[in-house]
Amino acid sequence: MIGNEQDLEILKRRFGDDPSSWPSPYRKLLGDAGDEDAIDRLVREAAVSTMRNDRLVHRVLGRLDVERGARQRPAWQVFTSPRLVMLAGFALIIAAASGFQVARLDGLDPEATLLAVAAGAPTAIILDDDVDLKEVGL
Amino acid sequence: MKDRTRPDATAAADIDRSLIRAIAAGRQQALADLVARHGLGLTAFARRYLGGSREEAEDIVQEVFLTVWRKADRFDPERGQVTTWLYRITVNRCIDLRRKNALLRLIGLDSAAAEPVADVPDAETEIAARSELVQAKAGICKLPQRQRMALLLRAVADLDIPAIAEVMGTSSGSVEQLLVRARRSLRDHMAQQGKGPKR
Repeated sequence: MIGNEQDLEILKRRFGDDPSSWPSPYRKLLGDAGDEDAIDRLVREAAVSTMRNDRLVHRVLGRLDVERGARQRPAWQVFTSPRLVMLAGFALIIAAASGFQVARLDGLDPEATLLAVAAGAPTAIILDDDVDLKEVGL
Repeated sequence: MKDRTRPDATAAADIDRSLIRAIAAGRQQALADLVARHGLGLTAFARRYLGGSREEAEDIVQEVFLTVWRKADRFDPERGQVTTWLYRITVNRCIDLRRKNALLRLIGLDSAAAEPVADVPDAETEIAARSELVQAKAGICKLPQRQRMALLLRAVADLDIPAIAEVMGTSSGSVEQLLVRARRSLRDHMAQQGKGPKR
C-alpha cells in the first residue's frame, strides 16, 4: 500500500492526477480493490517499490543512443579500425604472393621484384626476363 | 477475476497504445514515458522471478525496452494489450537468462549463476528481516518457477487469467491451477513464519 502522502504525490507527479490512468501495479497500491486477494496484495507489496525510476529511463535512452550511433557510423570509419587495416594489409601481401605464383615469374627473384615494385620501377622493366635488376639500380 | 475492459484498465491501456504508436513513429520521449510507466513494474517482476538480483532484472528490462523501440511498428493492438506484450517479452528474456545460468552452472563456468535465493538481509536490515514483506519475498522465491511466474503476473502485472495464459504459453485452466497452488504455498509459508497476510 502507499505509505504516506509523499508517496502518493510522487505517483501523481509521475503518472498524473487521475489514478485510473496509472499503470498497474501502482493503481492497485491505492488499495481500492476491495475484493483483491490478500495474498496477491502481499506479493504486490513485496515486489513493488515506489522509488523513482529516473535511472532506468536514463539507462534505456543511453543504450538507445549507443545503438543508434553504431548504426549511423559512416562506412569509411570501418577503415579506422587498426585490426581491419592489418587484415587488409595481410590480404594484400597474400594476393601479391599468389599473383607471382600464378604468373610463373620463374626467372625473377620474388623478393627483388617486390622491392622493385616498392621502389617504383616500371612494370615493363620488372617483367622483362633479360633485365638485370642491378642495371636499373636495384 | 479482473476484466481487462473495466474503465480504469481501459484508460491505462489507451495511454499505452498511444505511446506505442508514438514510439513506432520514432519519438524517443514516448519511449521514456513508457519506461516511466512500466519500468519499475517489469523490474519488480523480473527481480522477484529471478530471485532478487537487481542488476540482472534491470539489464533484462533495458533489453525489453530496446526491443520495444525496434519492434513497436509490429505491435498489433487487436491481438493484445501493450502490458501483455511487455510482460511476454520480459518473461522470455527471464527464461533465456535462467537457461543460460543453468548451463553455466552445469559446466562449472559461473559459480555466481546460482539458483535464486531470497535477498540476504545485511546487519542494518536484520530487524526488518522479520517483517512480513521480507518473509513474503522469501516465500515467493521458494515457489516453483511456473507458480512464481503466474503469481507475479497476476499480482504485480495485474494481468487476468487469459492474458497470463497467453504470456506463459499455456491454457487458462493451467494458470488457475498454478495460482491456487502458489497462493496456498505462500500462505502456508507465511503461516509457518507467523506472518499471515492482513485481510
